Amino acid sequence: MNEPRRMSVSAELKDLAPIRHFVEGAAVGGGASPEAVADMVTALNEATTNIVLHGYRGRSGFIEVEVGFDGDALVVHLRDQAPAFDPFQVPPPDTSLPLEQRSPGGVGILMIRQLTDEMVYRMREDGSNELVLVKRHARDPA
Amino acid sequence: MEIVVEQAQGRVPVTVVQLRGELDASNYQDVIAKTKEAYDDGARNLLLDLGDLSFMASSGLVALHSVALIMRGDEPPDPEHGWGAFRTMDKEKETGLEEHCKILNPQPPVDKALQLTGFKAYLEVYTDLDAALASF
Repeated sequence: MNEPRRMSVSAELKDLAPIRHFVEGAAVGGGASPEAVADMVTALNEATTNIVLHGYRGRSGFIEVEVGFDGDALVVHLRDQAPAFDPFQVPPPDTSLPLEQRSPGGVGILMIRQLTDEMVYRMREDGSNELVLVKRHARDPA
Repeated sequence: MEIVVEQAQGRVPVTVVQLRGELDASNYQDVIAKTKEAYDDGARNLLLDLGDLSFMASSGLVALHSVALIMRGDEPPDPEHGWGAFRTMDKEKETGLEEHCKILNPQPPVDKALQLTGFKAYLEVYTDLDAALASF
């Protein structure tokens, strides 16, 4: 398994792009396919945006990003110190509804669910949030 | 992200708004502001050229929705409300393809986002500039 790569950035909208680029570089460097990389970058961007806007809500804080592989699965961990926010509490949008009737915030979570194979949320012992995103078959098996 | 506005001519004048770079929560309001400016300057048909847009987040979809409303002549909702803005869409209007706002050449990840979120039911996507301009 490749050694995971980590970065920690302030939780501000201006840092969304550096996070995306970091994950993209690490994923590409580990041999992930372009499509898997694109899907994971889009998904994690939705998650980090939620952390900034709905987690910290303008207060200062940090987001820790860890990128690695578990076999051929691309795995991204996001950790933050914002008040607990469990994305599984956000109901999935009713896709039968016209787009304009969908709930606020539901689309970001929808995109995460559709673009990744697994999304795990947990509150760590120190009270921080951890969100784990997994994209299976992201690279050729070794 | 850079926003480039140019005028083109199909059967009618078309304002082409090219987005270059990456569109996310940090800059999506710039797209809305630029569209308002173009509409106030007389633009009535808008083609969003996404050929050089390498990334688009769900915030970008909020921008696209507001842009479509602006080009209808409607007041867009407060972008601070994010996706709640979608609820203000006039429910008396039939949903369907927008006549005055269309999309050109979305890159595969952007096209995928449009597809996943159902935006292709509202915004017609073209891969050829001439065909896009002629469609207005």
